[in-house]
Amino acid sequence: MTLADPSTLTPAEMTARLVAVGRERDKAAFAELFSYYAPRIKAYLIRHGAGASQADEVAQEAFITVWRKAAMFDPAKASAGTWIFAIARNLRIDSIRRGRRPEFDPNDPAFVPDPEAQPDDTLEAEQMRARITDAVNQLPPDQAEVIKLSFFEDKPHSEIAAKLALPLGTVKSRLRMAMRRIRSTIEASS
Amino acid sequence: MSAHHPHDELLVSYAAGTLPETASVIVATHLALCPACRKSVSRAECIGEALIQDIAPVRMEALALDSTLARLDEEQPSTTVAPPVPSGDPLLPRPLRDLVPQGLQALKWKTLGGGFRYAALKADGAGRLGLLEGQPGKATPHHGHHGDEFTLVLSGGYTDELGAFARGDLQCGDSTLMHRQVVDAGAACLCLVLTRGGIRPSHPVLRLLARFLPF
Ligand SMILES: [Zn+2]
Repeated sequence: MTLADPSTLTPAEMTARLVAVGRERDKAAFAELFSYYAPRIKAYLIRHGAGASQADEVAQEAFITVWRKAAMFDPAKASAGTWIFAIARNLRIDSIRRGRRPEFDPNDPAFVPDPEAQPDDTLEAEQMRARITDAVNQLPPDQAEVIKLSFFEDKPHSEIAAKLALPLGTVKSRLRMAMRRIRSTIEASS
Repeated sequence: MSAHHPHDELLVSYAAGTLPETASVIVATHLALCPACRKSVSRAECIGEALIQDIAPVRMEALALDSTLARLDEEQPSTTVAPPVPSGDPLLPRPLRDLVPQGLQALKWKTLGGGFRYAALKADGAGRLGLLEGQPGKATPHHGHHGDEFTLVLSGGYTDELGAFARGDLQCGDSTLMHRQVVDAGAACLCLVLTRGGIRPSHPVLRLLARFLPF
């Protein structure tokens, strides 16, 4: 199979590939997504303490799940990358932490659905992703550091605080400031 | 719509997948009832993706793609089915309902006196997760905890020094919180509580009592 170099695909093209996997069971599109995201998922799993061969296996498993669940992917709600990241995160919890990921169930009778139109619903998932990426890249270094550690260290914030030799309150307030900045970037541009 | 929500750092940790299971259950159960926090979590997931894009990829093993492609047509494992909603119980959202598959009556309730009872569900590094039910008009002693105390209202409501709490509201207190929760008149109040650290009664006499409280 010859494939386009997946690193030249834009995020919107990635999302189109994932839609093709869901609707048409397109294996070439699947292979492109795999070539781009699997090595990144593998790196993410290694950051979380997996050995190289376990990380390889779990990244493959994540893509089996991508294949099985692709029909449920809704491009209005998430970009391909965000959706694939969520699958990798859940598998990390199952296989590396040997835990379980409790999640809400949108089909549950107790589930409270989203209200109809919301102010920033007009923002496409892809635009949202792009703006959040920009906002993350522009965070001041101290805020960026706690955000990164929150995602890449499987540790409570108290341990992150100890690692940075900072009071817990400082770690929490940097996180809140980072989230506030990101939120205001989204709101200012919508 | 809920009026009391988890702090950002809790939603970020949920999105990052770094919370212990007990804390994830209480956050995810709030999310089932709160569209606004679901939106914050999906934004935090976008942050996670942005960070993943930034780390140096690690090459997959040579045959990884081929062996994954070869498995695509394997049969799918059956998915889990939601437990039924026992009649007469307040509607417990998933994922909490998964921890109470036989319904509330089948739980081992411990009578606390003063119109309250408690059923333990699960414990881990984040603390002890359980259900607390108070009869209408009854109040807890004025107390705090030597750690976090998260309370998610599932039915009925209560009022304390910080406000009024109803179904879907999540009160996140840390070790500085001291409060007396008064159950609203009219109906019992059922809450999911996650506590870490022993109870800290404000009155010395109550300290003795605290030894007998399971949460
Ligand atoms: Zn909320």
